[in-house]
Amino acid sequence: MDIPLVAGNKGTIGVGEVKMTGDEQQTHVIFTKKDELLEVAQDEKKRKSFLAKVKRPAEYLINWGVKSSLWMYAWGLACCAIEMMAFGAARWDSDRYGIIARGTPRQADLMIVNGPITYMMAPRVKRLFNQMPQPRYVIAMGECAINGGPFWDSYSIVKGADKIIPVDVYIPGCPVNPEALLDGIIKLQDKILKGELAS
Amino acid sequence: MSVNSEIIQAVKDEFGEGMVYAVDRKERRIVLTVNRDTLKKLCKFLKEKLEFDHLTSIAAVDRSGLVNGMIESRLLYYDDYEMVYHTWSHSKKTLVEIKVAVPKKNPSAPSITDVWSTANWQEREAFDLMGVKFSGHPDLRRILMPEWWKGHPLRKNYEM
Repeated sequence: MDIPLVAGNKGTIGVGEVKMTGDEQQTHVIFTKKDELLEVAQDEKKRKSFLAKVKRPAEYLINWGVKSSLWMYAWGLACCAIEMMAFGAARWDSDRYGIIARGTPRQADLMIVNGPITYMMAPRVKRLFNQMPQPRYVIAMGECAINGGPFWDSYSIVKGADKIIPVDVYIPGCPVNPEALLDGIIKLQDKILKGELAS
Repeated sequence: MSVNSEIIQAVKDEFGEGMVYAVDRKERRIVLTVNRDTLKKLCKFLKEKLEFDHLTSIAAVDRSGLVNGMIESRLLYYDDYEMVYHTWSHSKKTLVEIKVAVPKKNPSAPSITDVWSTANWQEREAFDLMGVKFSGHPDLRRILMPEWWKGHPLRKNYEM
């Protein structure tokens, strides 16, 4: 018997009586009886079918939570950090998007690489990235972080942040406007919702 | 007697006419050119007797290719490095620039870390980028480039 599985936008899954509100997207409850949950858990075929149906809404819910509270690591490699500060201040106000600056990578989800990475700094950047808990996201902000930018010919600059850490979104500009950074973060949030990410 | 000429006179009295080449460049700016052996004594004298309590900066200059002078319509070129030390006196409000030529064959200069301890990292930087070795430095390592780096990038003959 196929389980009447309906998971709405909110992705809620529960046990109990079916409550139909008329609008199918608003229907929350899946199982008609308590015993059916046990039956699903024991039968492998039913379990797989159940998981396949539940997976996408659950992923969506988790991704929604992740993208709505992207805490960024507050650091500065170069002048793009000034624009990042402006993005955090009153006019652009990153707090509206749940982006709160943290002083340590261990509390952060999002690392914004905002400047050129020198060979001396590269192991430190990698180490800071490794200290971030998963899921973690990286934005390459500005030309220097994309490919070295104006320092392409320099003897001491890593040619792009993606040479050492996986980058999700690249934002061009020299320096990047706060608006452009905001656009990049919204693009990252879209990617998170779709669930297609590098790291 | 102005501040400049007082300082120049004091330095010349201490070291003698021939040891220090002094230029009174403009108001409260003096340039002293010495050789490597006199440098540390001069720095100590400036700090202890003339109250030059602040070392502003240390610079290393690659002078190869700069025109030194002319003999019979033939140009002479420098072929050495030059260390430039800027010191500032808060009481006299005067900046003294000390220049020391460092030959290319043996690029070393005496460390003045025990006179002004702020010279420590600045000498490390000069060593890192220009390759001037400082004798008597407590911890002469690279500071800007990684440890595995070869060569000194700000030298004019450095190939990228």
